[in-house]
Amino acid sequence: MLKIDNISKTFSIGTVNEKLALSDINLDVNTGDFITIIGSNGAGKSTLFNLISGDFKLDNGSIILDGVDITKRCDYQRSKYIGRLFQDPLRGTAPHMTIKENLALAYMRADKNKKIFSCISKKDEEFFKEELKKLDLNLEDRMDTKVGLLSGGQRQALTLLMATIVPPKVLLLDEHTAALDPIMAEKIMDLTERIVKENRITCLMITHNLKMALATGNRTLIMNKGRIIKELDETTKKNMNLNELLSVFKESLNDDRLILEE
Amino acid sequence: MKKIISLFFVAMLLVTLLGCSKKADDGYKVAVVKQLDHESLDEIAKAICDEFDVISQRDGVSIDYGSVYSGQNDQSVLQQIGSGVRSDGVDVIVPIATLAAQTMTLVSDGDIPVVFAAISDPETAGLTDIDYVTGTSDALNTKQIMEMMFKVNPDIKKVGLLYSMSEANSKKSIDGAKAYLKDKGVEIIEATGNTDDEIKQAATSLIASKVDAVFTPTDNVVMASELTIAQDFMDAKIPHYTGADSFVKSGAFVTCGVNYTELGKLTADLAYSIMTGGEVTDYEVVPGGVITVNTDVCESLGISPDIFLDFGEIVEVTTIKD
Amino acid sequence: MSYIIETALELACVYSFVTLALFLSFRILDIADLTTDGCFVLGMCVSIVCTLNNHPLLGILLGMASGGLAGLVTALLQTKLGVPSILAGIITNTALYTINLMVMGFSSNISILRNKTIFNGNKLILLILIVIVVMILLRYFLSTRLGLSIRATGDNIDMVAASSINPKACILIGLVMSNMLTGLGGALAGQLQKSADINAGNGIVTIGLATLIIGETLINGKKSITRNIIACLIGNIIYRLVYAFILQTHIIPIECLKLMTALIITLAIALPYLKDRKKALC
Repeated sequence: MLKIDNISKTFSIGTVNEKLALSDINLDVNTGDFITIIGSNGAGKSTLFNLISGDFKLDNGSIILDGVDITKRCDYQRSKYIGRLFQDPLRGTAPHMTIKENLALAYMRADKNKKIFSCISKKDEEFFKEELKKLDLNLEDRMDTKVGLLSGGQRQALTLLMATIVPPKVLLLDEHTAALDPIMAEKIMDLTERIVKENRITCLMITHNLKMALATGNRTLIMNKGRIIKELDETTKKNMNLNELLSVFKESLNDDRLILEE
Repeated sequence: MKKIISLFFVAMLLVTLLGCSKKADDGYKVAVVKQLDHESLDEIAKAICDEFDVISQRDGVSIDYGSVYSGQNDQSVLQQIGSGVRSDGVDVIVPIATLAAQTMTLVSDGDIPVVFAAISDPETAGLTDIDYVTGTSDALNTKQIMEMMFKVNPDIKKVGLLYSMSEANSKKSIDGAKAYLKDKGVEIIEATGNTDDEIKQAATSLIASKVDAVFTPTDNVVMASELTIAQDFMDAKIPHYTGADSFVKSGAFVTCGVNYTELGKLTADLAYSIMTGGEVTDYEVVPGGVITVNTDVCESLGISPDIFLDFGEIVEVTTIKD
Repeated sequence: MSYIIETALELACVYSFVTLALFLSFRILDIADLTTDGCFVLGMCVSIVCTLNNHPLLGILLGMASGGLAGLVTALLQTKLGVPSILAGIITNTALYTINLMVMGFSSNISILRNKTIFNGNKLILLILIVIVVMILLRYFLSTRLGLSIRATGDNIDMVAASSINPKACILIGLVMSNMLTGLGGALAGQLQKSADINAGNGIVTIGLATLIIGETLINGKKSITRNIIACLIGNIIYRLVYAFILQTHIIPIECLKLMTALIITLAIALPYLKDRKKALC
């Protein structure tokens, strides 16, 4: 589904602040994969997502989505097939517009370039209502409420719905439950897994929560200093417990240090 | 709180509606409307009002001109002033400067005679051939100023034209100057500007081009900067020929222009004649022929004011020192 | 008596287009667009030149279109050349000074005192009609998908890109529409006032913003798009009536007109704020 071919990214090349964010990353994501990504801060996880979604241009390499080279496409062109959620629950929605209006905009990923002069129809409203019911947050009764009045968790749930209302080919989740309270975080995670399963969306998720990393998905990547240090496949994950993962994690970080010291 | 505001608003509306003052039974009501606050316009307004007072005394009639309106150079404000003046039921409106005159003419719509003051080019402004509009024009006698220029220095090779393109009053005069100078085979260098600093830059560029003389018509924008640029011209020994005495008082060399106080008086007289049933003609050109010359500049250039004796009455002034 | 109110209302209608334009660019798109002054005069000149040639209705339409063109230039400066929005507007505004002079044949003032304009019968009724039609069209537009995209661009531009909509295209369309409204206002003003002067645009953006804020204060902030749009007209009506009051009653000397205007606008904005503060703890 998604092939990341030898990509690198360095920021502020040639200045005092030069930073090698990603170095020769290669990754093959298969359709239906749910890959969790863990790593220390500054490992390059978010940068990887930024390069996939088109927020930054890569220095070299290419990204191929479903057989199509999307390296040269800009962010809004890629977002037709790539959905993304951020840690900040306020980021994915327009606060001064209503739930209905936000959903209508997200839905334009399917209607793209068609009927820009049409208004939200009754049929659309019914559809949005049905989808909102699935979130189980009573948002379907508040479709005309301005999104800015919702809580962080509700906004994140809405963002999740918006990202998947037109099922994307790839969904990027950047610590999307990190800023939520534990109950909400669990709810959102459940929703995520359900929606991803229902629509068979290929998913990449960044998390600092090792338990979540282990319990979710079929693959796990450990990143450090701009590289993918270790990959855990489905069987390894199944047979691993949390402590083991923690030591593997620490080891990978140490390994890297050893390599550098040589 | 909202109730208080609404009440206040309604009260304001009522006062506006009912507050139209009634016309004095025996006497005349006039509205004098300046386009903006500006030295020459202020001078004209004052002259008009003073003359109304003189007429009042002389003929024993009451001419109520209230306070002079200023349009703040804003068309919409002028329109609102016009509507107020019209509802006041004045006998005559006296606008000063082009935009004010155009707006008052529009607002009056034939109901109230309009007597404009100091419009250099009434034809281009569309103010001629209207049966309720007349006034005074300070059309500059450009030809005469050109002749004065050549009297002072018959060997002129390069002349600088300094003016602003946003000035309605300048165009006709500049075109006339260009025609005259082209005839004489003199090189013309134009320099324009719309703000203070642009005019200063324009003046500097003319000095750098080593022109023999500079001409500016009745241009309000240049007038605003005259005090500063006059010094530069004087230092470069370039005589600045201008269209109004206010320039000369600020340090320009000479003008053959209209005495604006006289113009104001004439406008008031014209307005009075209209009020008392006189005939409305197109407009009256106020004769120029008043040579206002700055003796400080004369000294620095080494020219005697007497050189202009043939052209008209000479009035000598010095640069205002404040 | 009624002339005063009539003139005030006529001017309010004409300038409400500028306020609507600023509502679109400043509030909806969240862009400080300073093209307004020059754009207003452009609409005015084009409209008057067409009227001089006996095509007053065409003048209104072309005035609107030329306003849109000015907006296009500002938008391209921003989106294609990376010029910061506030500078882009200033650049276009500066260029328009010369262009406006060109349209007027390098004269700084043209008048159509004798020509026929689109205002044949009652000026006020026609103006109110045009204002209402434009407001309805604008409201409808802002509920279409394109309108929603433009609203979202000013609210959360990242979300627009995430919905696979080109945010730069939205900015472009929004600025073109906004300046079309200004051009329309200028075109109508030209034919109403029967003259165009190169200096007529000075301070239009200030009046526009002031009336926008006065209108918003009246509806207590951003309540709904419909109320905001109507508030644009109401703000102008109040502004013009206040002027009429000051000019008519002579309570305040004419020289203090602008000072009074500033004070009244400050009051209009401050009163609700002060009222809220009274309830607050500090």
